[in-house]
Amino acid sequence: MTGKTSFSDSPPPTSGRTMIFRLFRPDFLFALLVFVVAAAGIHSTATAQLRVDITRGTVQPMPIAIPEFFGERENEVEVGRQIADVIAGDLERSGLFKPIDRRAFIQTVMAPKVRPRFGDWRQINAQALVSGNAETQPDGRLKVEFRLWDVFGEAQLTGLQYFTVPDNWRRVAHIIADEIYKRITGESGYFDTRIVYISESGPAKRRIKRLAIMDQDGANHRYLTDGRSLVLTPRFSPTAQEITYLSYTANRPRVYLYNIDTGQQEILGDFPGMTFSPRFSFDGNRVIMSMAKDGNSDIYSMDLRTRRVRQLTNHPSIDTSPSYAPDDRRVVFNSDRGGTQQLYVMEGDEV
Amino acid sequence: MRYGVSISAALHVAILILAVVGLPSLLSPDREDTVPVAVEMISEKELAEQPSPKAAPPIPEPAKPEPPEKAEAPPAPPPPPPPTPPQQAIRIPPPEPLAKPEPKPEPPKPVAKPPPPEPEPDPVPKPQAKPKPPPEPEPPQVATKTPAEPPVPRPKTKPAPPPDELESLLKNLAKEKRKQDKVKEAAPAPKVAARTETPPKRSALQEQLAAQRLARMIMEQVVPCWSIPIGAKDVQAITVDIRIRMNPDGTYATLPQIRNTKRIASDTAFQVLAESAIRALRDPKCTPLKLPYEDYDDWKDIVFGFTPPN
Repeated sequence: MTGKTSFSDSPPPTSGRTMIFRLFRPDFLFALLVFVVAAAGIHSTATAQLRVDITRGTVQPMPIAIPEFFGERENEVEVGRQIADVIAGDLERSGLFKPIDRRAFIQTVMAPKVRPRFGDWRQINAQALVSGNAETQPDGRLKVEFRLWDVFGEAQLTGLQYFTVPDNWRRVAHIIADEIYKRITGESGYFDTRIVYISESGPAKRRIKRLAIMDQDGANHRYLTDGRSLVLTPRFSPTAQEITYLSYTANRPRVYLYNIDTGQQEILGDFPGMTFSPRFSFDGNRVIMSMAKDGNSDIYSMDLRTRRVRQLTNHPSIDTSPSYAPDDRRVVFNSDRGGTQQLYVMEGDEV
Repeated sequence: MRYGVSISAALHVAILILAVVGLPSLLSPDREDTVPVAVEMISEKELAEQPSPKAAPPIPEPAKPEPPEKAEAPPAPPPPPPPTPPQQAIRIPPPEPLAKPEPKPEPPKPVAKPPPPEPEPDPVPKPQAKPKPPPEPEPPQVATKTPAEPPVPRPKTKPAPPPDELESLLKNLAKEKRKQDKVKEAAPAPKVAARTETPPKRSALQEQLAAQRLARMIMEQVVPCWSIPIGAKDVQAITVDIRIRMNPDGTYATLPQIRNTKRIASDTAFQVLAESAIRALRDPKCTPLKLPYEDYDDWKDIVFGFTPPN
């Protein structure tokens, strides 16, 4: 701006010669010098750092080494091997990890509390390493501890220990797999979970349906009902300790509650008609379901602590398939009250 | 008047000089001192054709008109990150107390709770337990840092698993060795001497082109080792910048330094991305970087920007 003003203020130069002459005046040279120096300074700092943008990569499962967990006694060695196998299986099935074949290991024994020989693990391209050990305590419990190592960084990423009854080793293995998954991917693992489902067997005309449960990896499978009555639509409680489902016991289709720990089952509520499509609320304190009577079905909820039943809809059309929102203050359900089947949401303290 | 004329003339000349010498750099938004480089793919063949960026002056480089890269250059004026070793930075605080089965502190066990028990004084007198394995295969360089090359505990002496496994390992080892020898040959001279004798009198444009070529060369070497963290949600919009100072032989003179280290503690996606990036930079398959020694001045200080593709 100021430059411009001075231009307009000053009259044009009288002749080219004077102009050239003046180019060598000291004040001009000084100004020039300042600019050159400034330009050079900027220039040199600009080259000091090289920026490399990496916007591509590979999508490959992470090579992870999971040696057998260390154990001293025979049973510890055995359980250590099994735990490592379960962890490797969990991680491999997630698709994000590639456990390395143990036959490739250079360091085959991982004594507890000793830093791994990282060079050995880099040799076989392991990026992560899990070391651990199993030890029976004097009181009979099993102590399992593990550490997750960053092989390239030669640092421990996480390490935890667990105490449990020896029969529970499989669960501990799943919990450890969850920890590893979480530490590496940033997301919670799902390995310490179970699946409840209806098992079907028998000839086509006389199908037997039983309530069954198993670990997420198919282990520990067992039947919860004997198959004498039809069972349907099992749902876990948030704590996964209870299951609510529909059973046709004594030809009266009702919603039941099954306690996995005690093996007890009980009928939920004393309804005059068929109850079905049960689900837990997210806080685990209520079960919401439909009750059909005289050709009409409405939605009810039952508080499991007080056993109080509340009717949530009262409409001559069919209302069913209710499900709580995660905040437990809204319910989505299915209704044909508008003429066609649509989803509806109701909300409020009363639900 | 004379004064005014001389000022105006000086300004003109200065503008001219700036335009020729300094303008491109001036426009660069990242004043602090980064040259943002838009990286373009070139095939390996193409790359092979021009191994030394200096060999050919700014020739037909596939049109790189310095695209909008500027817009995306990290505006962050990062104060030179504190010299926190990144491992420390990325290490999760002491793992939370055990999930279910009774946590039980058990003082004698230095597991989990006491912060990172990593540098445990190994109670076992194993010779290999030394943190630094034999640095013998390392080219002359800063011996203290980063596992640029597999430190190689000679597998020959090992009980050795199946024979084929061992064989392939040995082969790899030999390859590794050869690679290193090559690197050594490539950079035999004392670096200071060599650097002073190359007088880099290049124009700004040449600098830019050279930087782009270098960046591409480096990217091609890092990409195969970067496993994109697909398991994490929300990493797509994140960029992690990691700074490394280099040795003339392509090894690292400093540990990879994550900029914005604070974010690691609060943002899991950022942490996961940063860790994956550091793994890529440390992967023995991709290090040390193979770079033209004569351009050492241009790549002695690198900032890697890792951004997962969508």
